[in-house]
Amino acid sequence: MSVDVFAGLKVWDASWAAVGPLTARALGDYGATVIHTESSRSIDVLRRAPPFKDGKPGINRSRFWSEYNPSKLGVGVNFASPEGHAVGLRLAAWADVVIESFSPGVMERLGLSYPALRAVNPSLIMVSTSMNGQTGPRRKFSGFGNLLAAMAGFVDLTGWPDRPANTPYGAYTDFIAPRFCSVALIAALDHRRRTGEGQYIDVSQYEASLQFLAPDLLDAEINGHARSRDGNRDPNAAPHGIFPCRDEDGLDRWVAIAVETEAQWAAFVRRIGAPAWAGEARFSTLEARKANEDALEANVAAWTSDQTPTEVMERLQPEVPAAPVRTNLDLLDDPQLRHRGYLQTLDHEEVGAAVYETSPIIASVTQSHPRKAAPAFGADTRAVLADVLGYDPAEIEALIASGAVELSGPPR
Amino acid sequence: MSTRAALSPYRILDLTTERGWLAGKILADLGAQVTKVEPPGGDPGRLKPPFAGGQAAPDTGLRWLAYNRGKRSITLDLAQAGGRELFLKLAARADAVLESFNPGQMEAWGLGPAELHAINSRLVLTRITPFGQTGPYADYAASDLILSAIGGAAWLSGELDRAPVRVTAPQYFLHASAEAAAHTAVGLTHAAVTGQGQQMDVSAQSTTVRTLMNAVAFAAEGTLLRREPLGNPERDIPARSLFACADGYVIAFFTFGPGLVGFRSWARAQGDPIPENFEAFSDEELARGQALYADHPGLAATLTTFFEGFIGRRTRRELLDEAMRRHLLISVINNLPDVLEDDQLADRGYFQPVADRRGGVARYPTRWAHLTATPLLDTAAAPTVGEHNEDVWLDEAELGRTALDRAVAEGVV
Repeated sequence: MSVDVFAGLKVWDASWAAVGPLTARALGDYGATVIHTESSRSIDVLRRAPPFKDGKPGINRSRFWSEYNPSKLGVGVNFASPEGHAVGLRLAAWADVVIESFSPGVMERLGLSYPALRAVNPSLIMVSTSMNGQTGPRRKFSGFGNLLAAMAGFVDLTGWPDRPANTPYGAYTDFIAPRFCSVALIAALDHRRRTGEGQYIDVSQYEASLQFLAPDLLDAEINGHARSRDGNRDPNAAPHGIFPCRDEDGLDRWVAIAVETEAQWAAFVRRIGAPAWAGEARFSTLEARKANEDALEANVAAWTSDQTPTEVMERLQPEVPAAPVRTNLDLLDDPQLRHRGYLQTLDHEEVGAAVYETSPIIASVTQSHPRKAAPAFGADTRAVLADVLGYDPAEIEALIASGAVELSGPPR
Repeated sequence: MSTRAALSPYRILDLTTERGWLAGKILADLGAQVTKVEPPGGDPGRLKPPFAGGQAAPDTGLRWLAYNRGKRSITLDLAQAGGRELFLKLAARADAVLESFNPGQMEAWGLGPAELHAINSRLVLTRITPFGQTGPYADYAASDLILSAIGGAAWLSGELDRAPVRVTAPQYFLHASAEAAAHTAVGLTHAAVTGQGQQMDVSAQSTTVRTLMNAVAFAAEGTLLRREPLGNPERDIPARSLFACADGYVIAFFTFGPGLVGFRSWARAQGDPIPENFEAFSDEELARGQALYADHPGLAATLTTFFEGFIGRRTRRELLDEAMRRHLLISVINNLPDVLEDDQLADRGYFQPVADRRGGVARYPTRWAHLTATPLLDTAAAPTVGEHNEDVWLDEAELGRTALDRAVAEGVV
């Protein structure tokens, strides 16, 4: 028994990069019709970003781009032209939801601001996602999640206390903001279902991401305490770290161990065979272990270093939190991810079979999963103009001839 | 509860441990009536540090305060038969139940999906766990660090001569909780339209993997990624780097937007000395990206030295403002006190005063989205233990004073 909860919902995805496309994808994965628009004049930077299918570059071959854009139709349209602008207004009239992620001001310049779109569709919901929001002195700040991870404090909070900051991988905050965009949008859709009222939603990725540091912001605000990076340590747990294991084919291997309670410490000592060091007074309480943490970690590392991460996990679980540090390659074979069907292979007209991530939730009724591979540039331009927007064949040919719409993108 | 809020019709029972608190908080921000159901004596997570003023107490835990704002609190011992019965009374008239116990705990209490849907077929049951309800790791113990490891995040952070690292502030149950909030909202809509409830099984391991940008795609193409320092500008590719400036640190990217051409214009406009073998290139040549460095060995090192000086002579403020004006990619590296003082956040009213239960007022991070028709609510501080027991048990569950007194005497409430 599975239901496409958003079947019939119409989404115009005018966004690019990660946050907007992932928000639109979530609706498409629930069964909505999502039309993604793009133009070769300002092509999505991710279409040119590695990895490429089979290592061959090409704007339809980027696995980076395609991961964020399955479950969508692809239309090439240049909104800067008068004819393209008219296509935009038809899309707005058709859509229930518009999602865009240009720098604040760009939609206005294109004549596609929320007031302009609402004039053709009074109950439209529009989401604008941007780095710092649509208002304020830094509304024009542009960039991507790597920069925002620094602005929001995640960079300062990652790495070793005796070294310069490191960073969470990639554009970290790009993977916080979509979750907030989605819940705000779904709530707004429910409000519209009940009242008929549309609205405009302004999500600053900075503000959404800072929700993930709320306790530490309060600690700074109330206690004047500035939490900063501390490797893998935790002020209230020990041992709490990532420890070396036996190399595997020349690759460094690691295991994470997090002893958070005295009961877990007792279980840990028992499961590692109650070595003499573990009985020493300097490790007998959390306070003592924190005071002697360097020595504690050296002892744990000595125990882990001739084992594999899986051996350590199986020795300690389920009583003691422990798990291998998965490489990105390991994730493909993780038994739990496999059990949940987290990765799914979809066929693409140009690049063939490609692996996609699916939903992190398994719903018993409203299934969420990618419906089709990401579109090649302009793959659905003709079909959408004719079948969705109601252009007749002569109009479509004129739009193509003028360059207002595009059937394919630039060669690279 | 405002009727102007998007989720104002919905009533949610929040059984979550600290792993799932954020989900109910997000839904409360959007207007749902969220009632935290705590064990008698209070949610043990209330006593997790850090504490306001450093004093451990049920209403001073900052994690608790941050993620339970806008909720009501009742107490109930679900492990007792009487507690189970009372909970079913509430669940019969609720729209959603959020929980984050270990798999099997709700079933052990007789409160699994079968029992809950038997008394309320419309109910959305959202379950947040490290690995999901079933599967080979479903019963494994986990924590933020464990998720960072087994979700692939840690491997990609840190430096090669030391262990992989997590983000020091716990992240990965928050991803699961925010994701859970979105899917709960989907379930609420579906139930409102069709009358059909369901279970939402959220895996925090999976939500962690979703944060890895392109790393799974690289894996599918057979490429192993490695962690690398942010700190030292790479001599041969000055593409991404941390730089010291006059009063702190920034990160700068030279390969996007106006890129090197834009940075050179900036340096020229302000009279900074520009090395000859940077000045010599035409704008077109500078825009060639990586190919430029390949054709001109030594250029990358020249540019790195130049940027160390250029950035080092300027303040965080100058760099941020002028880079923004020129569409160049520089961000300051803020610590948490810097964030508190950010004038952009002040202009948008992000930090709002919230009066707490100890008579204090603190600025909380609040408006994570601006919705024109249904603004997020400015909700009250997190509740005290059982603060709403009388409202809920007498007025809503219509328990009657005698029955409530008996439940209290038996330790059920």
